[in-house]
Parts: sequence; structure tokens; C-alpha cells
Amino acid sequence: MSLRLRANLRLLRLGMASALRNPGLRALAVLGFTAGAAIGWAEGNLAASTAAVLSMWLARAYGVAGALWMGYAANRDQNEREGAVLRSKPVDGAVWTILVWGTGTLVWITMLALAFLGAAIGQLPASGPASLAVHATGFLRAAPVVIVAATLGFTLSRLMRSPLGGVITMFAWFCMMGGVRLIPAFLQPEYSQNRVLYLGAAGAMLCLTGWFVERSRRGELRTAPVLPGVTVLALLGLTAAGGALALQKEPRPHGPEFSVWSQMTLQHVKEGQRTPGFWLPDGKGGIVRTAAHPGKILLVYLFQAKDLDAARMLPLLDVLGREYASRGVQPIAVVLSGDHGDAWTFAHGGYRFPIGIDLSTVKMADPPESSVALAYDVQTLPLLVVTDRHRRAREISRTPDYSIELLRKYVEERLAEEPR
Amino acid sequence: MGVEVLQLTKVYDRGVRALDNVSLAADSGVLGLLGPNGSGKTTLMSIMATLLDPTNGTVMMDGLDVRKQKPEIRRRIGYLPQEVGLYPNLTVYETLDYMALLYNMDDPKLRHERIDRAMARLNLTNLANRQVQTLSGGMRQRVALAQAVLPQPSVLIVDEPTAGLDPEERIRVRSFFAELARECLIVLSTHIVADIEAVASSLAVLRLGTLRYSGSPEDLLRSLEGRVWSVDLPANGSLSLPPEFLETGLYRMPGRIQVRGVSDKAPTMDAEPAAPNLEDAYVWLMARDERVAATAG
Repeated sequence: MSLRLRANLRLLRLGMASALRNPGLRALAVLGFTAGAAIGWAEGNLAASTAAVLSMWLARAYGVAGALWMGYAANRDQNEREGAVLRSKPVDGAVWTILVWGTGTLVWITMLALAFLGAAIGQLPASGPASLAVHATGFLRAAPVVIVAATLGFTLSRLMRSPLGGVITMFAWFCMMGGVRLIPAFLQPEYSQNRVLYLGAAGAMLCLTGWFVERSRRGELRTAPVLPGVTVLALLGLTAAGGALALQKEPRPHGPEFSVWSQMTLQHVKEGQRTPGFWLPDGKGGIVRTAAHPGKILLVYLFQAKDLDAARMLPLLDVLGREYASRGVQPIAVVLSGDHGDAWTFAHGGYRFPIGIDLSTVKMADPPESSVALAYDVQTLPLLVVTDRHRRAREISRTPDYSIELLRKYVEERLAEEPR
Repeated sequence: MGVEVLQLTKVYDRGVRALDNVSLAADSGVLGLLGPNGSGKTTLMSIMATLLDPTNGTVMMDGLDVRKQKPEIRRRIGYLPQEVGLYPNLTVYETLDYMALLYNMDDPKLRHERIDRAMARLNLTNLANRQVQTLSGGMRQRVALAQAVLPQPSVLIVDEPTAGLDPEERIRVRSFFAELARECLIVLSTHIVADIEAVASSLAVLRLGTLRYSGSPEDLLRSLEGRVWSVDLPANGSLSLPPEFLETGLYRMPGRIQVRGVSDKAPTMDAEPAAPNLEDAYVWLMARDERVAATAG
């Protein structure tokens, strides 16, 4: 490792040590870990759903805190008076910007990681090793959001030379959370499929601040900045590509132009009639299909990703699936979510039955709007449909009781009628 | 090694003229910048430290122009501003390590040698593992000084380094400057005349952004020779002094008050001539301007 790199890593380490010795931040770290552990413990064997919920709430909480902190940190180190000692040093403006930003961002990423670690440990006894994997995905989903919020807070504050930049970012973030249904899905920072858009924009802002503005302010911008210019343009290109990708992946119910979906949406679930079939991604690169289980009794369970109550059914379906596997009983769950990250999280949940994600979900509040919700005529989630071996709906439970006994009763009734 | 200030003017955004056509030079020892609050000392030092741009004129630091060669100058200077923002949660050693890294001292061996040397020179070795927030004001000032000398600068710029220090710390800091002045040029700004008197080899006096004196302290004192008087007054203060007598000091003695001051002729019959000191010279310079301004008004 080069001396320069080692020196910069040492600077990062010292900056982090300074921040993490702050009693307030230490208390927050302990609080985050403890709260994560308590939530994990309380939710027991619902690791995937807990991680999905935590990825949203922790991204929001730490994103707001990170934006504010970075607004303060950006000016604490660089202001005209107390920052003069640092500004008189010969460190390059761009390097200095990256160091201060990197220190603050790492602090908040560490705090976030501690909260997820707490949740993973809290859930370890009930969920087993899947708890670690699933909370790692939760962390990786929340971290980009925190990085984006922290970066925007930092860069705006540096550009404005005022902590107000952090406050503006926090305010914008609050507005996004408050009016989340009014903001198109392709603009929501929480949705994993939009991360290229936001990370590209944050990267461009950071390069612009460090390479151009800070270097110019420090009198270091003396030659035409070709490499920085190309980099910023590349990042803006990445942002545009990320925007296009986000737009393309924006959840929208499939219209009549998709023949499979149009056929599906023409079907409606009714007792005694054939249930609508579906093809859904499972977050592992596979496809969940009803047609893949011919001649089996299906337990199709529809629920929304962030509903922890509804998720209590998943471990029961898992037990039931293993118990009755040899007798041709197959549970299938469908998660309604517009966030592609949920697919990833549930894929690591350790469940041994197929879980498909309906990424066409536009609205999860009742009545939900998605292709599968439309086909299954869902007015309220969750919904359980038990089919016979010919995929005809035999039991439609709109208020499922999360008891294994009831599920066994449904299955036993079916098996009594159709042993094979 | 050297500083050359060339017709320097600084006008802030709100139209405040902090420096007006100031020129001065120094190549070694301690250049003392003396002046009341608001005289432009901090502005001049900030320009020297490349933190502010001049409006007109320039400063050559070690032959480099502050307008055009900021990065090069930053590598050669040490700077201690009036308000030092050190990270409170780092230890003394970590603070110096951090600053040394910002000076691009990448080689750990060289860095640790420099830090150890700076700590030894400023009596900080036994405080190496103490967090900055637990140090007294004087100790923090020594840490701040240590960071400024880490790069072995050719010019050390220090702004009000003894303000708020107790007498013992003040003497310690002055002794340090006297020793360091053999290695580099120190530009020392203060409004405490005794600091300058103790260590300065050249002097610049600023008032309201203009240069009132530039030269050696000895030359300034010589210009006052035969014009400084000491007068004993009764303790009840019944004897009045002529208006042209400019008081520079007043000392309460048993049964009398001794007044020290400057005037072209003896203020009373029994006034005794006294050897001029910088305090006399400074007060005289400031008051002379006020009188000129009052006469012109």
C-alpha cells in the first residue's frame, strides 16, 4: 500500500475516532444496537420481514441524522475562524473534501451497521443463520440511502458555506417521507432500483464540490481540470442512466400490451373456479410460477412486504410445507412491493417455499394496486387462497388466522377430499 | 526565508477597509505586529497564511506570491490563528498526527520524529495521551503551537498567541519564540506590548488598517529618547499635568502616585527623565495619530 494511501486511511481513522468518542454519538450507537436487538428479539422468526421494515425505517432515521450531522461537520472543519488551522494546511482541497465527507459518512454507516447487527443478533436464536444474511441485505439496502442523504447534506452545506445545507436536505427528506405517495416511485430514494440515480447524483455533487469549488476556493484550480471534468460528466451520465433505469423499473400494473398479464387480470379468484396463475421473480434470479406445481394443493398467500403481522404466516407456511411436502401440498407466498430491494431481502429469508415478488405494486394500502392484487380481487391484505389439485380455489380467507391448527385443518380437509 | 508585504489593501465585501496600502518586510527573527483591536493585524496574517485574498497589492512569502502560489506557500508556513479549533476528543499525540498528515508527512517514521520533537520542545511529552478537551487553555495553546511548527516552517505566523494565558504560560511561550526565531522567521501579532518587547527584532505598528511604524524597536525607542518623563504626584492627585504630556503609565506608590509619560519638554520642574520603553512608544504612536486627526478635524 502506498504511503499516501496509508496516510489518508490514517486521517480517516483519526477523524472517525474523534467523532465516535463523542458521548452523544456513542449513546446513539448503543441505543441503535440495543433497539435493533430488542426489535429482532421481539419479531423472532420473521427475519426477512424485520429486515425489510428496518431497512426502510433505519434508512429514514439515520438519513435524517446523517444529513444534519454532515451539514454541521462540513462547516465545523472549514469555517472562517475555528477552521483556519485546517485550511492553512497544504492538503489538496479535493482530498480534504473527500476525507471530511468520508469520515462523517463512515460514522453514520457504522451507526447503521450497529443497529442491523443488533437486530441480526437479537433474531439469531429464532431465525438462525438466515438472520445474519437477511439483515446484511437490509443494511446494504439502507446504506446507500444514508450515503446519499449525508452526501447531499455535506455538499450543499459546503457550497452554501452554511449548515443550512444539511437542514434543507433534512427538510426535503421529511417532505419525501410525508408525501411519499405523491412522489413517483422512480424518484423515491428508498427504492433499491433507484440507487444508481441517487448515488450518481450524490457522486457528481461531491466531485463538483471537492474538485471544482473547494479547489477553486483554496486557489488550487490553476489548470484546466480535465480529469475532474470528465469524471463529473461521467457521473452525470450515470445519473441519467440511473434515472432511465429507475423509470423503466417503476412499478406500474401491467397493461393490456402484456398478453400474459392481460389474460391474468381478466381472471378473478372465486371459490370453485380456477385461481389466476402468475410468473413472479423470486429475488434470487428464479421465477415463481403456479404452473410449476401441477396436481398439488396450493396455499397462495398474498401480503405486503412491510406488514410484520402478515409476515407471521410465513414461518407457519414453512412448517406446513415441510410437513405435507410428501402429500403434494405446496405453499406459495406473494409479496406485494414496488421496491426491488424487498425481493432481495426475502430471497435471503431462509424460507424453503417459493416467495415471489409482485414488483408491479403501485399501492399497498387498501385496496392494494398491483397485477396480482387485481387478479386476486384483493380488497385488503393479507389474503390466503387454498386450492385443490386442479388449482380451483376452495378456501379464500381474507382475515387469516395465524394458527398452524387452522392451516392444518384447511389442508386436512383438502387431503381428505383429494388424497392424491 | 522572508516576508515582503507590497502595497497591500484589503476591502471586505461590506466596504470595510481592513488594510490600506501597507508595505513592510522582514527576513529573520521575530516581526512583531502591534496594534489595537480592529487595526488589521488578523487580516494581514490571514492573507499571509493564504486564507484571504488581497484586494490590491500582494505578499511575498519566502519569495512566493500569496495570490498565485497558495499551495506552495502552505507547505512552507506554520500558522496559529487567534481561535484554534482542535478536535476535543483526540489525544495530544493524535491531534499532532492528524495535523502532520495534513502537512502531507506520509512517512510514519518522519512524522513520529517530528511529533516527538515538537512535543519535547513545548513540554507536551507527558500530555501525549491526554484528550485535548481535558487540557487547560495554556496547554491547548502549546498544542496549537506544536502543530504549527511540525513542518519546520520557514515562516511561522502566530496571531495573539498569549491572549488569555497566565503569566507562567506566557513566559513559556515567549521563550519558545525566542528559541525558534533562530530557525525561522516568526510573524507575531499581538496587542500586548510586553510580548513584542520580549522577543521582536523588527516591529510594525498598525492602526485602522494603515501602517504607523515599520522598523526596529530600537529605532522607535531612540526616537523617544529625552522625551519620556517620570513625575511624582501627591496621592490626592491635586497637582495637574500639562495637556501636551501624554500619560503612558501610572503607578501607585506609598503616599504618592508616579506618572510616566511622553512630552517634548519636562512636564513639571521636578520631572525626571526616564528610559523609553515600547509601551511608551506604542501609546505615543497611537495618541499622535488621534491628535493629528483631531487637529485636522
